[in-house]
Amino acid sequence: MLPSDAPTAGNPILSTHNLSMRFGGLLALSEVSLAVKRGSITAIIGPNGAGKTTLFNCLTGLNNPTSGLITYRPQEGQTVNLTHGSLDKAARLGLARTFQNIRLFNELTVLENVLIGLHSRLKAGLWGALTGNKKTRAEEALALELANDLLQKQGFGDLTKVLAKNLPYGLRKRLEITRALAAQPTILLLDEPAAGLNGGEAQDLIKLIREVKSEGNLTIILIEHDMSLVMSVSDEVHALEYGRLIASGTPAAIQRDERVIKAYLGEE
Amino acid sequence: MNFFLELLVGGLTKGGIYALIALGYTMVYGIIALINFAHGEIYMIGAFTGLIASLFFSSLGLTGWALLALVIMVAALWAAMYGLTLEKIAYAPLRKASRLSPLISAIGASIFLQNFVLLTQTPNYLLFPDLASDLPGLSFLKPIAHLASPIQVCVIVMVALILAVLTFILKKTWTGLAMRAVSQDPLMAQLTGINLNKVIARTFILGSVLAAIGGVLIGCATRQIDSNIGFLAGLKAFTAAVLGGVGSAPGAVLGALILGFAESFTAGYFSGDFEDVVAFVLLTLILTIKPSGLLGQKIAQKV
Repeated sequence: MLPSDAPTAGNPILSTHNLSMRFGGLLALSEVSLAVKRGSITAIIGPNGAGKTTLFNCLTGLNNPTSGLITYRPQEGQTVNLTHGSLDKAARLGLARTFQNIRLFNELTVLENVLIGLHSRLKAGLWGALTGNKKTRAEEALALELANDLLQKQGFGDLTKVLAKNLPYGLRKRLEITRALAAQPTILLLDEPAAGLNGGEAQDLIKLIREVKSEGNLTIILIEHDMSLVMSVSDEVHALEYGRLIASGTPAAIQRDERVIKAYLGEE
Repeated sequence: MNFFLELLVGGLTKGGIYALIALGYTMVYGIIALINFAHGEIYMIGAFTGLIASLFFSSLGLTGWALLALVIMVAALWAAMYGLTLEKIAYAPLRKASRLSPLISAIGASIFLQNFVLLTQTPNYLLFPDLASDLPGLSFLKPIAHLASPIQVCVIVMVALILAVLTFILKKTWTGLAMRAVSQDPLMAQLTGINLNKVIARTFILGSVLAAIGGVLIGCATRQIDSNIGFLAGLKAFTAAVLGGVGSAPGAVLGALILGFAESFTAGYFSGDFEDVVAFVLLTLILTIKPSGLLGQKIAQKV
Protein backbone atom coordinates (compact mmCIF):
# COMPACT_ATOMS: atom_id res chain seq x y z
CA MET A 1 0.00 0.00 0.00
CA LEU A 2 1.29 3.44 -0.88
CA PRO A 3 0.87 6.51 1.30
CA SER A 4 -2.32 8.36 0.62
CA ASP A 5 -1.35 11.98 0.15
CA ALA A 6 1.63 13.17 -1.78
CA PRO A 7 4.05 15.48 0.04
CA THR A 8 3.43 19.13 -0.49
CA ALA A 9 5.63 20.91 -2.92
CA GLY A 10 8.03 23.69 -2.03
CA ASN A 11 11.32 23.89 -0.21
CA PRO A 12 12.35 20.93 1.90
CA ILE A 13 11.56 21.39 5.59
CA LEU A 14 14.94 20.03 6.56
CA SER A 15 18.08 19.56 4.54
CA THR A 16 21.65 18.65 5.19
CA HIS A 17 24.52 19.75 3.02
CA ASN A 18 27.76 17.75 3.05
CA LEU A 19 27.19 16.83 6.67
CA SER A 20 30.14 15.03 8.26
CA MET A 21 30.64 13.80 11.78
CA ARG A 22 33.96 12.45 12.93
CA PHE A 23 34.57 10.66 16.22
CA GLY A 24 38.34 10.39 16.50
CA GLY A 25 39.36 8.09 13.70
CA LEU A 26 35.82 7.09 12.84
CA LEU A 27 33.92 8.96 10.17
CA ALA A 28 30.36 8.29 11.29
CA LEU A 29 28.83 10.55 8.66
CA SER A 30 30.58 11.45 5.46
CA GLU A 31 29.30 14.36 3.39
CA VAL A 32 25.67 13.42 3.65
CA SER A 33 23.38 15.70 1.65
CA LEU A 34 19.72 14.92 1.81
CA ALA A 35 16.42 16.76 1.86
CA VAL A 36 13.23 16.00 3.73
CA LYS A 37 10.02 17.17 2.14
CA ARG A 38 7.49 19.07 4.19
CA GLY A 39 4.68 16.81 5.35
CA SER A 40 6.41 13.62 4.27
CA ILE A 41 7.27 10.46 6.08
CA THR A 42 10.93 9.91 5.40
CA ALA A 43 12.77 6.75 6.38
CA ILE A 44 16.48 6.44 7.01
CA ILE A 45 17.69 2.88 6.51
CA GLY A 46 21.04 1.19 6.57
CA PRO A 47 22.95 -1.60 8.30
CA ASN A 48 24.06 -1.26 11.91
CA GLY A 49 26.75 1.37 12.30
CA ALA A 50 25.75 3.14 9.10
CA GLY A 51 25.39 6.46 10.93
CA LYS A 52 21.60 6.69 11.18
CA THR A 53 21.44 7.57 14.85
CA THR A 54 24.42 9.90 14.47
CA LEU A 55 22.42 11.73 11.81
CA PHE A 56 19.53 12.08 14.27
CA ASN A 57 21.93 13.26 16.96
CA CYS A 58 23.29 15.95 14.66
CA LEU A 59 19.80 17.07 13.74
CA THR A 60 18.68 17.37 17.36
CA GLY A 61 21.80 19.06 18.69
CA LEU A 62 23.22 16.06 20.56
CA ASN A 63 26.26 15.92 18.33
CA ASN A 64 28.02 18.87 16.83
CA PRO A 65 28.75 18.07 13.18
CA THR A 66 32.41 18.24 12.21
CA SER A 67 31.51 19.98 8.97
CA GLY A 68 28.56 20.63 6.76
CA LEU A 69 25.29 22.44 7.18
CA ILE A 70 21.81 21.68 8.48
CA THR A 71 19.04 23.93 7.26
CA TYR A 72 15.61 23.89 8.79
CA ARG A 73 12.57 25.71 7.48
CA PRO A 74 9.88 25.60 10.18
CA GLN A 75 7.57 27.44 7.78
CA GLU A 76 7.80 28.49 4.18
CA GLY A 77 10.02 31.54 4.00
CA GLN A 78 11.67 30.97 7.38
CA THR A 79 15.15 29.51 7.42
CA VAL A 80 17.08 28.44 10.50
CA ASN A 81 20.63 27.17 10.59
CA LEU A 82 20.53 24.17 12.91
CA THR A 83 24.13 23.10 12.40
CA HIS A 84 25.37 24.01 15.85
CA GLY A 85 22.16 24.18 17.76
CA SER A 86 22.04 23.62 21.50
CA LEU A 87 20.02 20.75 22.90
CA ASP A 88 16.95 22.72 23.84
CA LYS A 89 17.10 24.93 20.74
CA ALA A 90 16.15 22.16 18.34
CA ALA A 91 13.36 21.12 20.68
CA ARG A 92 11.94 24.61 20.98
CA LEU A 93 12.08 25.05 17.22
CA GLY A 94 9.82 22.06 16.80
CA LEU A 95 12.00 18.97 16.56
CA ALA A 96 10.95 16.18 18.90
CA ARG A 97 12.53 12.76 18.98
CA THR A 98 12.46 9.33 20.50
CA PHE A 99 15.37 7.03 21.21
CA GLN A 100 16.35 3.56 20.14
CA ASN A 101 16.75 2.57 23.78
CA ILE A 102 13.75 4.35 25.25
CA ARG A 103 14.62 7.45 27.28
CA LEU A 104 11.77 8.21 29.60
CA PHE A 105 11.92 9.96 32.95
CA ASN A 106 11.57 6.71 34.85
CA GLU A 107 10.86 8.18 38.26
CA LEU A 108 8.13 10.46 36.91
CA THR A 109 4.57 9.34 36.26
CA VAL A 110 3.16 8.76 32.79
CA LEU A 111 1.28 12.04 33.04
CA GLU A 112 4.35 13.96 34.20
CA ASN A 113 6.38 12.60 31.31
CA VAL A 114 3.85 14.01 28.89
CA LEU A 115 3.64 17.29 30.82
CA ILE A 116 7.40 17.65 30.40
CA GLY A 117 6.82 17.34 26.68
CA LEU A 118 4.38 20.22 26.89
CA HIS A 119 6.81 22.21 29.01
CA SER A 120 8.57 23.88 26.11
CA ARG A 121 5.32 25.53 25.08
CA LEU A 122 4.56 27.10 28.43
CA LYS A 123 5.46 30.55 29.62
CA ALA A 124 4.29 30.46 33.21
CA GLY A 125 7.00 30.99 35.79
CA LEU A 126 7.49 29.92 39.37
CA TRP A 127 6.23 33.18 40.77
CA GLY A 128 2.89 32.79 39.05
CA ALA A 129 2.51 29.31 40.47
CA LEU A 130 3.33 30.40 44.02
CA THR A 131 1.03 33.38 44.00
CA GLY A 132 -1.75 31.45 42.32
CA ASN A 133 -1.75 33.87 39.43
CA LYS A 134 -4.84 33.45 37.23
CA LYS A 135 -3.02 33.26 33.94
CA THR A 136 -0.64 30.63 35.28
CA ARG A 137 -3.48 28.57 36.70
CA ALA A 138 -5.36 28.70 33.42
CA GLU A 139 -2.27 27.68 31.52
CA GLU A 140 -1.56 24.80 33.87
CA ALA A 141 -5.15 23.60 33.67
CA LEU A 142 -5.00 23.72 29.90
CA ALA A 143 -1.73 21.79 29.83
CA LEU A 144 -3.15 19.16 32.14
CA GLU A 145 -6.19 18.81 29.93
CA LEU A 146 -4.08 18.55 26.77
CA ALA A 147 -1.85 15.94 28.38
CA ASN A 148 -4.77 13.89 29.63
CA ASP A 149 -6.53 14.05 26.26
CA LEU A 150 -3.41 12.91 24.49
CA LEU A 151 -2.92 10.05 26.93
CA GLN A 152 -6.50 8.89 26.64
CA LYS A 153 -6.21 8.93 22.89
CA GLN A 154 -3.06 6.85 23.03
CA GLY A 155 -4.78 4.31 25.21
CA PHE A 156 -3.15 5.00 28.56
CA GLY A 157 -6.57 5.06 30.25
CA ASP A 158 -6.04 4.81 33.98
CA LEU A 159 -2.28 4.38 33.78
CA THR A 160 -1.56 8.11 33.94
CA LYS A 161 -0.44 8.05 37.58
CA VAL A 162 1.84 5.04 37.15
CA LEU A 163 5.60 5.59 37.24
CA ALA A 164 7.06 5.31 33.75
CA LYS A 165 9.51 2.63 34.86
CA ASN A 166 6.63 0.32 35.77
CA LEU A 167 5.11 0.25 32.28
CA PRO A 168 5.59 -2.75 30.00
CA TYR A 169 7.97 -2.33 27.06
CA GLY A 170 5.39 -1.67 24.36
CA LEU A 171 3.70 1.04 26.40
CA ARG A 172 7.02 2.64 27.30
CA LYS A 173 7.75 2.89 23.62
CA ARG A 174 4.34 4.40 23.00
CA LEU A 175 4.72 6.82 25.91
CA GLU A 176 7.96 8.12 24.45
CA ILE A 177 6.18 8.88 21.18
CA THR A 178 3.31 10.47 23.09
CA ARG A 179 5.72 12.69 25.00
CA ALA A 180 7.30 13.78 21.73
CA LEU A 181 3.86 14.51 20.29
CA ALA A 182 2.93 16.58 23.32
CA ALA A 183 5.46 19.17 22.25
CA GLN A 184 3.41 19.59 19.05
CA PRO A 185 6.52 19.23 16.95
CA THR A 186 6.94 20.27 13.34
CA ILE A 187 9.21 17.32 12.77
CA LEU A 188 8.95 14.07 14.68
CA LEU A 189 12.09 11.93 14.64
CA LEU A 190 11.56 8.29 15.54
CA ASP A 191 14.61 6.13 16.18
CA GLU A 192 13.65 2.51 15.54
CA PRO A 193 10.08 2.85 16.76
CA ALA A 194 9.23 -0.75 15.91
CA ALA A 195 12.25 -2.37 17.54
CA GLY A 196 11.17 -4.97 20.05
CA LEU A 197 7.49 -4.66 19.32
CA ASN A 198 5.39 -7.73 18.56
CA GLY A 199 3.34 -8.03 15.39
CA GLY A 200 0.19 -6.47 16.80
CA GLU A 201 2.07 -3.62 18.41
CA ALA A 202 3.91 -2.93 15.17
CA GLN A 203 0.60 -2.71 13.35
CA ASP A 204 -0.67 -0.27 15.97
CA LEU A 205 2.49 1.76 15.46
CA ILE A 206 1.92 1.98 11.71
CA LYS A 207 -1.62 3.15 12.40
CA LEU A 208 -0.34 5.68 14.92
CA ILE A 209 2.24 7.07 12.51
CA ARG A 210 -0.34 7.47 9.76
CA GLU A 211 -2.80 9.05 12.19
CA VAL A 212 -0.48 11.66 13.62
CA LYS A 213 0.73 12.54 10.18
CA SER A 214 -2.72 13.04 8.73
CA GLU A 215 -3.97 14.93 11.78
CA GLY A 216 -1.18 17.40 12.31
CA ASN A 217 0.86 19.31 9.85
CA LEU A 218 3.66 16.97 10.75
CA THR A 219 6.79 15.71 9.05
CA ILE A 220 8.10 12.39 10.27
CA ILE A 221 11.62 11.06 9.92
CA LEU A 222 12.17 7.53 11.09
CA ILE A 223 15.04 5.13 11.42
CA GLU A 224 13.84 1.59 11.02
CA HIS A 225 15.06 -1.91 10.34
CA ASP A 226 11.61 -3.36 9.83
CA MET A 227 11.45 -3.20 6.02
CA SER A 228 7.76 -3.92 5.75
CA LEU A 229 7.05 -0.95 8.01
CA VAL A 230 9.42 1.27 6.07
CA MET A 231 7.94 0.29 2.73
CA SER A 232 4.36 0.69 3.87
CA VAL A 233 4.53 4.08 5.55
CA SER A 234 7.28 6.11 3.95
CA ASP A 235 7.12 8.52 1.05
CA GLU A 236 10.84 8.64 0.63
CA VAL A 237 13.74 6.51 1.78
CA HIS A 238 17.38 7.43 2.27
CA ALA A 239 19.87 4.59 2.58
CA LEU A 240 23.15 5.00 4.46
CA GLU A 241 26.16 2.75 4.51
CA TYR A 242 29.39 3.43 6.42
CA GLY A 243 28.29 7.02 6.91
CA ARG A 244 27.67 7.67 3.25
CA LEU A 245 24.36 8.28 1.56
CA ILE A 246 24.15 5.54 -1.05
CA ALA A 247 20.64 6.03 -2.37
CA SER A 248 17.55 8.20 -2.05
CA GLY A 249 14.15 7.67 -3.56
CA THR A 250 10.70 6.21 -3.23
CA PRO A 251 10.39 2.92 -1.37
CA ALA A 252 9.85 1.14 -4.65
CA ALA A 253 12.95 2.67 -6.21
CA ILE A 254 15.04 1.89 -3.15
CA GLN A 255 13.92 -1.71 -3.24
CA ARG A 256 15.25 -1.95 -6.79
CA ASP A 257 18.45 -0.01 -6.16
CA GLU A 258 21.42 -2.30 -6.63
CA ARG A 259 23.71 -0.63 -4.15
CA VAL A 260 21.04 -0.83 -1.49
CA ILE A 261 20.38 -4.45 -2.23
CA LYS A 262 24.07 -5.16 -2.03
CA ALA A 263 24.69 -3.17 1.14
CA TYR A 264 21.59 -3.74 3.06
CA LEU A 265 19.22 -6.32 1.80
CA GLY A 266 22.05 -8.77 1.21
CA GLU A 267 23.84 -10.04 -1.85
CA GLU A 268 22.41 -13.04 -3.64
CA MET B 1 11.36 13.43 81.32
CA ASN B 2 11.29 17.19 80.99
CA PHE B 3 14.97 17.20 80.25
CA PHE B 4 14.43 14.64 77.53
CA LEU B 5 11.63 16.73 75.96
CA GLU B 6 13.80 19.80 76.15
CA LEU B 7 16.55 18.01 74.27
CA LEU B 8 14.01 16.74 71.77
CA VAL B 9 12.79 20.25 71.03
CA GLY B 10 16.37 21.48 70.87
CA GLY B 11 17.23 18.72 68.41
CA LEU B 12 14.18 19.48 66.30
CA THR B 13 15.11 23.17 66.14
CA LYS B 14 18.66 22.42 65.23
CA GLY B 15 17.67 19.73 62.74
CA GLY B 16 15.14 22.08 61.14
CA ILE B 17 17.78 24.68 60.48
CA TYR B 18 20.22 22.08 59.18
CA ALA B 19 17.43 20.89 56.91
CA LEU B 20 16.99 24.36 55.39
CA ILE B 21 20.67 24.43 54.47
CA ALA B 22 20.95 20.77 53.52
CA LEU B 23 18.12 21.13 51.00
CA GLY B 24 20.18 23.66 49.07
CA TYR B 25 23.10 21.23 48.91
CA THR B 26 21.00 18.34 47.85
CA MET B 27 18.97 20.20 45.21
CA VAL B 28 22.05 21.62 43.55
CA TYR B 29 23.69 18.20 43.65
CA GLY B 30 20.56 16.65 42.16
CA ILE B 31 20.64 19.06 39.24
CA ILE B 32 24.31 19.43 38.35
CA ALA B 33 26.06 16.87 40.55
CA LEU B 34 28.08 19.56 42.28
CA ILE B 35 28.69 19.87 46.01
CA ASN B 36 28.29 23.60 46.40
CA PHE B 37 30.72 24.15 49.25
CA ALA B 38 30.02 27.88 49.24
CA HIS B 39 26.44 27.21 50.25
CA GLY B 40 27.24 27.68 53.95
CA GLU B 41 28.45 31.20 53.17
CA ILE B 42 25.09 32.02 51.59
CA TYR B 43 23.55 31.08 54.92
CA MET B 44 26.03 33.34 56.71
CA ILE B 45 25.27 36.18 54.31
CA GLY B 46 21.57 35.59 54.99
CA ALA B 47 22.22 36.01 58.71
CA PHE B 48 24.26 39.20 58.19
CA THR B 49 21.67 40.67 55.85
CA GLY B 50 19.00 39.78 58.38
CA LEU B 51 20.94 41.60 61.09
CA ILE B 52 21.38 44.73 58.99
CA ALA B 53 17.78 44.66 57.82
CA SER B 54 16.44 44.24 61.32
CA LEU B 55 18.48 47.17 62.62
CA PHE B 56 17.26 49.29 59.71
CA PHE B 57 13.60 48.37 59.96
CA SER B 58 13.43 48.58 63.73
CA SER B 59 14.94 52.06 63.50
CA LEU B 60 11.90 52.86 61.36
CA GLY B 61 9.72 51.75 64.24
CA LEU B 62 8.69 48.32 62.99
CA THR B 63 8.25 45.54 65.53
CA GLY B 64 6.78 42.07 65.97
CA TRP B 65 5.65 39.94 63.06
CA ALA B 66 5.98 42.68 60.44
CA LEU B 67 9.61 43.19 61.38
CA LEU B 68 10.40 39.47 61.33
CA ALA B 69 8.65 38.95 57.99
CA LEU B 70 10.39 41.90 56.36
CA VAL B 71 13.78 40.87 57.69
CA ILE B 72 13.34 37.35 56.34
CA MET B 73 12.22 38.66 52.98
CA VAL B 74 15.13 41.06 52.58
CA ALA B 75 17.64 38.43 53.71
CA ALA B 76 16.16 35.85 51.32
CA LEU B 77 16.21 38.23 48.37
CA TRP B 78 19.73 39.44 49.00
CA ALA B 79 21.06 35.91 49.52
CA ALA B 80 19.26 34.77 46.37
CA MET B 81 21.19 37.38 44.42
CA TYR B 82 24.43 36.14 45.97
CA GLY B 83 23.51 32.55 45.12
CA LEU B 84 22.68 33.44 41.53
CA THR B 85 25.87 35.47 41.11
CA LEU B 86 27.90 32.67 42.65
CA GLU B 87 26.46 30.25 40.10
CA LYS B 88 27.13 32.58 37.18
CA ILE B 89 30.68 33.46 38.21
CA ALA B 90 32.01 30.33 39.89
CA TYR B 91 30.13 27.42 38.29
CA ALA B 92 28.52 28.31 34.96
CA PRO B 93 31.85 28.82 33.14
CA LEU B 94 32.93 25.38 34.35
CA ARG B 95 29.79 23.54 33.27
CA LYS B 96 31.75 21.42 30.78
CA ALA B 97 34.96 21.11 32.80
CA SER B 98 35.96 18.01 34.72
CA ARG B 99 34.16 17.40 37.98
CA LEU B 100 37.03 18.52 40.15
CA SER B 101 37.19 22.06 38.73
CA PRO B 102 33.81 23.35 39.97
CA LEU B 103 34.50 21.69 43.32
CA ILE B 104 37.74 23.65 43.71
CA SER B 105 35.93 26.73 42.48
CA ALA B 106 33.29 26.16 45.17
CA ILE B 107 35.91 25.98 47.91
CA GLY B 108 37.53 29.12 46.53
CA ALA B 109 34.20 30.93 46.46
CA SER B 110 33.58 29.85 50.04
CA ILE B 111 36.90 31.24 51.26
CA PHE B 112 36.35 34.41 49.28
CA LEU B 113 32.86 35.09 50.62
CA GLN B 114 33.91 34.38 54.20
CA ASN B 115 36.77 36.84 54.02
CA PHE B 116 34.76 39.34 52.04
CA VAL B 117 32.25 39.57 54.86
CA LEU B 118 35.02 39.53 57.45
CA LEU B 119 36.74 42.50 55.80
CA THR B 120 33.71 44.55 54.83
CA GLN B 121 31.74 43.92 58.02
CA THR B 122 33.66 42.82 61.07
CA PRO B 123 35.81 39.97 62.33
CA ASN B 124 34.00 40.13 65.70
CA TYR B 125 30.89 38.49 67.01
CA LEU B 126 27.78 40.60 66.45
CA LEU B 127 24.74 40.60 68.65
CA PHE B 128 21.68 39.54 66.66
CA PRO B 129 18.53 41.44 67.65
CA ASP B 130 15.84 39.58 69.54
CA LEU B 131 13.22 39.24 66.83
CA ALA B 132 11.26 36.21 67.89
CA SER B 133 11.09 35.94 71.68
CA ASP B 134 8.41 38.55 72.23
CA LEU B 135 6.11 38.14 69.26
CA PRO B 136 2.53 39.22 69.91
CA GLY B 137 -0.02 36.41 69.98
CA LEU B 138 2.43 33.81 71.23
CA SER B 139 1.65 34.25 74.93
CA PHE B 140 -0.31 30.98 74.86
CA LEU B 141 3.09 29.28 74.66
CA LYS B 142 3.95 30.44 78.21
CA PRO B 143 2.92 27.16 79.86
CA ILE B 144 5.45 25.18 77.84
CA ALA B 145 8.15 27.83 77.96
CA HIS B 146 10.29 25.62 80.20
CA LEU B 147 10.35 23.01 77.42
CA ALA B 148 10.35 25.09 74.27
CA SER B 149 11.10 28.77 74.01
CA PRO B 150 8.96 30.89 71.68
CA ILE B 151 11.95 31.14 69.35
CA GLN B 152 12.21 27.38 69.14
CA VAL B 153 8.50 27.04 68.44
CA CYS B 154 8.81 29.77 65.84
CA VAL B 155 11.71 28.00 64.14
CA ILE B 156 9.98 24.63 64.13
CA VAL B 157 6.71 26.03 62.75
CA MET B 158 8.46 28.08 60.10
CA VAL B 159 10.64 25.20 58.98
CA ALA B 160 7.54 23.02 58.67
CA LEU B 161 5.80 25.71 56.63
CA ILE B 162 8.79 26.19 54.37
CA LEU B 163 9.08 22.45 53.79
CA ALA B 164 5.40 22.39 52.81
CA VAL B 165 5.92 25.20 50.31
CA LEU B 166 9.02 23.50 48.93
CA THR B 167 7.15 20.22 48.53
CA PHE B 168 4.45 22.12 46.67
CA ILE B 169 7.04 23.70 44.38
CA LEU B 170 8.78 20.40 43.65
CA LYS B 171 5.63 18.33 43.19
CA LYS B 172 3.08 20.70 41.75
CA THR B 173 4.73 23.42 39.72
CA TRP B 174 6.35 23.41 36.32
CA THR B 175 9.62 24.54 37.78
CA GLY B 176 9.55 21.60 40.18
CA LEU B 177 8.71 19.20 37.39
CA ALA B 178 11.53 20.58 35.28
CA MET B 179 13.91 20.27 38.23
CA ARG B 180 12.96 16.66 38.80
CA ALA B 181 13.29 15.91 35.10
CA VAL B 182 16.73 17.52 34.93
CA SER B 183 17.94 15.63 37.98
CA GLN B 184 16.92 12.34 36.35
CA ASP B 185 18.19 12.89 32.85
CA PRO B 186 19.61 16.33 32.05
CA LEU B 187 20.21 15.49 28.42
CA MET B 188 16.70 14.26 27.73
CA ALA B 189 15.26 17.16 29.70
CA GLN B 190 17.00 19.56 27.35
CA LEU B 191 15.84 17.59 24.35
CA THR B 192 12.28 18.15 25.46
CA GLY B 193 12.96 21.87 25.42
CA ILE B 194 13.83 22.56 29.05
CA ASN B 195 16.33 25.38 29.40
CA LEU B 196 19.00 23.90 31.65
CA ASN B 197 20.52 27.24 32.66
CA LYS B 198 17.16 28.54 33.77
CA VAL B 199 16.49 25.45 35.87
CA ILE B 200 19.95 25.66 37.44
CA ALA B 201 19.48 29.37 38.20
CA ARG B 202 16.14 28.69 39.85
CA THR B 203 17.62 25.87 41.88
CA PHE B 204 20.34 28.16 43.21
CA ILE B 205 17.78 30.86 44.00
CA LEU B 206 15.59 28.40 45.84
CA GLY B 207 18.50 26.93 47.77
CA SER B 208 19.81 30.37 48.70
CA VAL B 209 16.41 31.54 49.92
CA LEU B 210 16.14 28.49 52.18
CA ALA B 211 19.68 28.98 53.52
CA ALA B 212 19.07 32.68 54.19
CA ILE B 213 15.91 31.93 56.14
CA GLY B 214 17.96 29.43 58.11
CA GLY B 215 20.53 32.15 58.73
CA VAL B 216 17.97 34.60 60.10
CA LEU B 217 16.40 31.92 62.27
CA ILE B 218 19.73 30.83 63.72
CA GLY B 219 20.48 34.49 64.43
CA CYS B 220 17.21 34.75 66.35
CA ALA B 221 17.93 31.53 68.22
CA THR B 222 21.60 31.96 69.17
CA ARG B 223 21.60 35.79 69.24
CA GLN B 224 25.11 36.08 67.89
CA ILE B 225 26.69 35.74 64.47
CA ASP B 226 30.07 36.20 62.86
CA SER B 227 31.59 35.67 59.43
CA ASN B 228 32.59 32.09 60.29
CA ILE B 229 29.20 30.62 61.10
CA GLY B 230 28.73 29.43 57.54
CA PHE B 231 31.68 27.08 57.64
CA LEU B 232 30.61 24.68 60.37
CA ALA B 233 26.90 24.97 59.57
CA GLY B 234 27.69 24.24 55.94
CA LEU B 235 29.72 21.17 56.86
CA LYS B 236 26.99 19.93 59.17
CA ALA B 237 24.30 20.46 56.56
CA PHE B 238 26.47 18.69 54.02
CA THR B 239 26.77 15.83 56.49
CA ALA B 240 22.99 15.83 56.83
CA ALA B 241 22.55 15.74 53.05
CA VAL B 242 24.98 12.83 52.71
CA LEU B 243 23.37 11.05 55.63
CA GLY B 244 19.97 11.18 53.97
CA GLY B 245 21.29 10.46 50.49
CA VAL B 246 22.59 13.41 48.54
CA GLY B 247 20.23 14.35 45.73
CA SER B 248 17.14 13.35 47.67
CA ALA B 249 15.11 16.19 49.23
CA PRO B 250 13.24 14.05 51.80
CA GLY B 251 16.60 12.44 52.57
CA ALA B 252 18.14 15.81 53.37
CA VAL B 253 15.37 16.59 55.84
CA LEU B 254 15.62 13.16 57.45
CA GLY B 255 19.41 13.40 57.67
CA ALA B 256 19.18 16.89 59.17
CA LEU B 257 16.72 15.77 61.83
CA ILE B 258 18.83 12.74 62.77
CA LEU B 259 21.87 14.98 63.03
CA GLY B 260 19.98 17.57 65.08
CA PHE B 261 18.73 14.95 67.55
CA ALA B 262 22.11 13.23 67.76
CA GLU B 263 23.83 16.50 68.57
CA SER B 264 21.22 17.63 71.02
CA PHE B 265 21.19 14.36 72.97
CA THR B 266 24.95 14.09 72.96
CA ALA B 267 25.27 17.61 74.32
CA GLY B 268 22.56 16.92 76.91
CA TYR B 269 23.58 13.51 78.21
CA PHE B 270 27.34 13.59 77.66
CA SER B 271 28.99 16.87 76.92
CA GLY B 272 28.62 19.74 74.51
CA ASP B 273 32.22 19.17 73.48
CA PHE B 274 31.18 15.98 71.74
CA GLU B 275 28.49 17.57 69.55
CA ASP B 276 30.63 18.02 66.48
CA VAL B 277 32.40 14.73 67.02
CA VAL B 278 29.10 12.89 66.85
CA ALA B 279 28.11 14.70 63.67
CA PHE B 280 31.22 13.66 61.81
CA VAL B 281 31.30 10.16 63.28
CA LEU B 282 27.84 9.78 61.78
CA LEU B 283 29.15 11.03 58.45
CA THR B 284 32.04 8.57 58.52
CA LEU B 285 29.76 5.70 59.50
CA ILE B 286 27.21 6.32 56.78
CA LEU B 287 29.91 6.70 54.16
CA THR B 288 31.35 3.36 55.23
CA ILE B 289 28.14 1.40 55.62
CA LYS B 290 25.77 2.92 53.07
CA PRO B 291 27.55 5.41 50.83
CA SER B 292 24.35 6.24 48.98
CA GLY B 293 22.77 7.54 52.18
CA LEU B 294 19.56 6.51 53.89
CA LEU B 295 17.18 7.50 51.10
CA GLY B 296 19.68 7.91 48.27
CA GLN B 297 19.29 5.87 45.13
CA LYS B 298 22.56 6.16 43.36
CA ILE B 299 25.93 5.58 44.86
CA ALA B 300 27.45 9.01 45.28
CA GLN B 301 30.03 8.30 42.63
CA LYS B 302 30.06 11.81 41.31
CA VAL B 303 31.52 13.49 44.39
